[in-house]
Amino acid sequence: MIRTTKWFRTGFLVLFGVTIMGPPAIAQSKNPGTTLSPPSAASPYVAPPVRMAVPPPAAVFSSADAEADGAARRLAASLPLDPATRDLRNRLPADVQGTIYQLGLRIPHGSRTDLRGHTPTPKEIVDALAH
Amino acid sequence: MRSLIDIRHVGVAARLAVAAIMLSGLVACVQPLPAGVAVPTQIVPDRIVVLTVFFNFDSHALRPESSALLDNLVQALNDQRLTGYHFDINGHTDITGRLGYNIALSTLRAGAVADYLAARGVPRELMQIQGFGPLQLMDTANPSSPTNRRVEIVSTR
Repeated sequence: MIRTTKWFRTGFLVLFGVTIMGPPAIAQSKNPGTTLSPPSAASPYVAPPVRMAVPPPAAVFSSADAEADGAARRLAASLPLDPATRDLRNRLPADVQGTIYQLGLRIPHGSRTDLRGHTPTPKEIVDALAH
Repeated sequence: MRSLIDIRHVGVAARLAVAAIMLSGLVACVQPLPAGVAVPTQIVPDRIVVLTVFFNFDSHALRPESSALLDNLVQALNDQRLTGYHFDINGHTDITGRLGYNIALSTLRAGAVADYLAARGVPRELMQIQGFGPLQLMDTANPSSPTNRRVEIVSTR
């Protein structure tokens, strides 16, 4: 007869149990659809999110909302303008053309079609843009 | 050293003949081109459309009511008649607020329009965004007028 210690027998039973039964499942809460301990992103049991070619409209329309103010402030601070011009409030700079040149903007020159006030059709837009 | 054409030993009649030939060539050069012949020009004027795109207040997030307009714009910019064109997407604001902030906000708004168009198939390399803020007012008599808040699409060749 093989003599074993109590600790050996306990360890054997634990290892045998895990091998047969598999790893413990994630505990489910009483509310369907939620978990008590959310799986980590690196968990092999979590499927990676499916990437969409075109983002859904809701994401397009709302993603920038939260940080818009901050993004505009950061961009404003990085503009190649002197602080006095940058901080002008409700006024235009004395030299508008110079400021445009300083910013490296290209002023368009040509005929302008005003399509505001309604939703223009694709044909209206093409007719206005085609030379 | 003797040059290839030495007119010192040529007679007066021959000199006159050469002068006449040169003069006739000059006259031919300044004659007007016949009708129907296209003259290539250096500057092609832009074509500009002015649109109202709705954004959330003080934000560059597009509002859902702009989707119909922007979807039509996607179709237009992908139209065969506009093949070979490049497009500037210019954002404009009214004068209310700080100049730098308005220029930045109009740039971000133009970028949001370009992102929308690119996500729906308009090649990004054909589009260039610019933010003018209030530097190109449409209604100069009323700088705070909502008329000045707009997005312009400029086609260039």
